[in-house]
Parts: sequence; C-alpha cells; structure tokens
Amino acid sequence: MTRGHRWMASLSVFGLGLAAMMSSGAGAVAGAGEFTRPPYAGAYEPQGVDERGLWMQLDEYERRFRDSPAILRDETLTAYVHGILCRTVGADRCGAMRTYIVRDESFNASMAPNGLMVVHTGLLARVHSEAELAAVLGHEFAHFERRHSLGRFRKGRSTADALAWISLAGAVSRTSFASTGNSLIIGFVSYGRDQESEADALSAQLVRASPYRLRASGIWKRLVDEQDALRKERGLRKIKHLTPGLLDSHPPEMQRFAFFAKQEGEAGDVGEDRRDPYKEATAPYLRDLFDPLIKGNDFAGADYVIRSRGDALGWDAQLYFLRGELYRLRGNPRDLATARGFFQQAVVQPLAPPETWRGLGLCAMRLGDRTDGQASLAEYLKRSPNAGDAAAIRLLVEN
Amino acid sequence: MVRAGLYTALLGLFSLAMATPAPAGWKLLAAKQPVQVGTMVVTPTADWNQAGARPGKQGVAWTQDGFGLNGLEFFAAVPSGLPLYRERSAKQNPMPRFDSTMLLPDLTDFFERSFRVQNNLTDFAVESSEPASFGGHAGVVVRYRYSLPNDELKRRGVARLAVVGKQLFVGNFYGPELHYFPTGLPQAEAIMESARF
Repeated sequence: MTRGHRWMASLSVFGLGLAAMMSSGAGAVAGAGEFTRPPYAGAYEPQGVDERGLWMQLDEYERRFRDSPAILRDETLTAYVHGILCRTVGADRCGAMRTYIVRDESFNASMAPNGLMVVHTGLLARVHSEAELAAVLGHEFAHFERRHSLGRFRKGRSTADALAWISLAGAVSRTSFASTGNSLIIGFVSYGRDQESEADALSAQLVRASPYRLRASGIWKRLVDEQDALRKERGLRKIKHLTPGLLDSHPPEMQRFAFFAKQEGEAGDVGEDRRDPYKEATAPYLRDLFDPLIKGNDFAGADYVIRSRGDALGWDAQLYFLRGELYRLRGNPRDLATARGFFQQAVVQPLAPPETWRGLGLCAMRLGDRTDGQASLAEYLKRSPNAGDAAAIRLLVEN
Repeated sequence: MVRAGLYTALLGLFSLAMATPAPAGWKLLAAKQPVQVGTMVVTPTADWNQAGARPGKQGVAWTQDGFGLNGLEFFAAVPSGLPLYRERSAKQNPMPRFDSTMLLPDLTDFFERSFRVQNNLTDFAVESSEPASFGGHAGVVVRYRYSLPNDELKRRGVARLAVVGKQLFVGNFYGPELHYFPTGLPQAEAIMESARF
C-alpha cells in the first residue's frame, strides 16, 4: 500500500518515492572522528524555484493530511516520539518539525522537505527501545538535512530530459535506444539507494553524538526474520537480503544490518538504550500499535513482531491478549486452543483488558466448552457493560 | 476488387460493432422488481445499478452514484471454507475464510477482517455489533466507520450477517459520512429488510 506524498522520503522498502528533506542551515558533516553538530542558523527559507515548489506542494499536502482520520491523535505519545527526535538531533533543530503518528502496519517512517514527519504505528510496534527509535528518526532527519528530495527531484528531471532527447534521437535515426533508456532509469534508482545509504551513515553519526547508544542493526535483522517467516508461511520464495535488485529503492536489509553492526562495533558501549522507558511509554497504546498488524492478513509476520516484543521487553497481559486475538482470528481449530492458552495466561496477570475474557469465552464456546465460555463472557460483560457488542455477547450468555 | 469488397465488409462490421457500445456488464435494476441473488431474493425500492464485476463468487454489488459514494453488496450462501470477497492472490493477499461454527461476535470479526483486506484498510473501527434479524433469520448488524488509505474522507457502513444452513448471507451498505451515508441509509435498510432467503 502506498501512503503519503510522492516527495516524502521514507525509511524502508515499503515506502513511497523519496521526498527531499529541506535542511535548515546545515553545515558540512565532519569526517571520521569527533562528530559535532554544526550550529543551527535559525529559520530556513527555501531557495530557488525547485525548492520553493517542493515546499509548496508539501505544505498543501500537509494541510490536507493534518485532518486525516488515520492519524493517531494522542498528545502524550506524539510528544514522546517528538521528544526522542529532539534528544537525537538537538532541540534547536527539532523545533521546526511536526510529528504525526499514523495507523499503519508497515515498518515505515517518512520525512518531508518542509519538516513534516510521519511515523507509522507499525514502526513503533517493531522497535524495542528509545535507542532503536532514535536511529530510525535520525535516518529520516538525515534525509531532511541533506535535502534528498530536492536532489532526487532534480536527478529525476534530468534523467527524464535525457530519456526524452534519446528517444527523439532514436526516432529520427530509427534505432532503438531502449537499453540506454533502461540504464538511465537504473542509474536514477541507484541514486536513490545511495541517498538512503548516506542517510544511514548520517543517522549513525547523529545517534553517536546523542545521549543514545547506537542500536540499529537489530532492527534490520528482525525485519529480515519477519519477512522470511511470512514468506515461509505463504510458501513464497525467499528473497535475498544482501544484494540490491536493480530497481530497489532502498539498500537491502542485510546490507544495512552489516553497516550498522560495524558502526556499533566502533561506537562501543557509550550511550543508553532506555528500553524500560520505551516499554512504559508504549504500554498504554499497545492495542493501537498492534491492531493493524493483527487485523491484517500477515499472520506469521504479526506473530513474529508480537513474539519479538515479548522476548525483548517482557510479556504482560496486553501482549498475551494480542497474541491470543491473532490466533483466535485465524480460527483454525488448533489456533483456537492455542489462543485459549494465551488468554488464560493473560487473565492471571495484572491489568488484563476486559476483551481478554471475551476472547477466552469465544474460544471456549467454539471448542465446545459452553459452561466455561459463558462464565468468561459473563465476566467480560461485568467488566465492560457498555461494550459495542454487549448485546450480542449477552445473547450467547443467556442461551 | 475482391480485396476491396472484403475491406468494405470488415469496415461495415466494425462500425456496426462500435455503434452499440458494450457497457461492461452493468445492469439497471428497476425499482420494486425482485432480484434473484443466488438463493436470496432482494427487492430494491428505487433504481439501482448492478456492476458487471462481482465482489465475490456469491455476491453482487449495486450502486446509485458510483461506489465511491454509495455501495450496496449482497452475498448469498457463502459456504464454509470460502472467503467473502474474491481472493485476488492466495499467496500474496489471502482472504479470511468463513467457518460455519462461527458465533455472532466471530461473524463481526470475520466481516471486519474481510472488509479490511478487500479495501486495504488500516483505519477501520466497529462502532457497534448487535443481534438483529436479516431476511427473517437471527443474525448480527455491524455498524462501522473507516477511511481509505491516503484519503481524508470519513466513511461509514452497516452490514447485516446471518448464518442459515451453515451458509453465510450478508448485506452491506457503505458510503461517505458526508451526506451520502446518512441520506441513503433508510433506503438501504429497507432494501436489506426486503431480503428473503
């Protein structure tokens, strides 16, 4: 699925075309060794026709996008994510950014040239610490700093110009220049990949200069494992994660993993992970973060994401409940029994959501255990008497 | 000469074919005429258009102003083990399948997941799900709201589902919250009331 504007830079293979990041008064990045952020020069105005045009387009897009029903409008969570961005890139730079959290199961974040940053709930579900999130947000900010959208736009324009002239020459001389045209297109796509690698490199430097530990390689490794699990479930051919395809918009995951692993080796043990604060901050929103995953149709992928969060941050009632829902919704007889097990593990933990008893009751009833099922459903009605489906559940309890 | 004659004949045939354009399978359903949808009989209260492309093997899709503005779907006798909507790719995008052992709340979940996959939604919320009658049989009515990806328009829908003889029957009406859904809702409810199976 595509989301967002053509000119927004996005993080991963699920993303759209690149957007140029408008940098605000950035200076050159220092070479190897000490990385110091150049001083922030203040409000930046777009310069040149191209840049002004891009900003105008993205401003118009943001004006519409701001009212989108897909945005998760929670001030606490948005402020939390924005705060991580500020701690990564510096409070002076992050003041001009606007952060939006969007309900989407894909692992993606996007940054627009005019300072609009979009973070998908799928991304928040898949990272396990503030440090990991910082690496991702740093990558997006790096696109912004380096004005990648503008560069991409200009490169695309010159590529299209060259293609047009070449096809005209071909028509005049009656020869086919298709292979030249293809090479030009491939060159344009690989330019985008180089931009992504540059953004990765700059994000590593940004995180190393921040209070966070550089912890990004794990994200890419887990993404590879998730995709492999999904493809194994569906019986699809495994994709190679090491070499980029000709038309891939991003470098492959294992290449990014290798790059970050090397950087982390060099960075050593400096900085903090902040896993527990991340766990606590996202705990109240777990249902919102995982809902698109669970209600989508990627069973193996969703199961992997839930399991990896549980293994990394610990299993609590909500996570057991979510895993139970995933299995219950697939609904094969063995799944119902498995789901029942997860729900039973959830109810003994503190702060189990009321819907846990709903899930437990429905599984029990479909497995043929009426008394148990009705008891659980009655408990659900007691805890959540004004639920949207209370009437339907009451019918099951009373018959 | 023979070649010229053949050419003229082909031209004549071609122009004849172009004179009556084929409207890609659309059918006009006149008001108050009962329509047979599989084993279900539905009577529209006004003129509706039936699309040539079916949303699923056992379903039909009707619209008055275009599917972006109002859509009315009926599915008759979906058997156990089959999806509601047509599965476009079993490997890349599998559809959830109906199971005759599903209870009423499971039907709500099944409809939610089917509608989500069919329309590629990430923003979908069930507002309420209550027991109701559909075609004279006990079933469930699901009221929901959603929005399409990259679209800021809020949309709403109401679906009625019932299981009769281990087969699923569904009636679903959806449209934008702005004018089309509230205005079209009474008529859609009346048409769904008229369904018999």
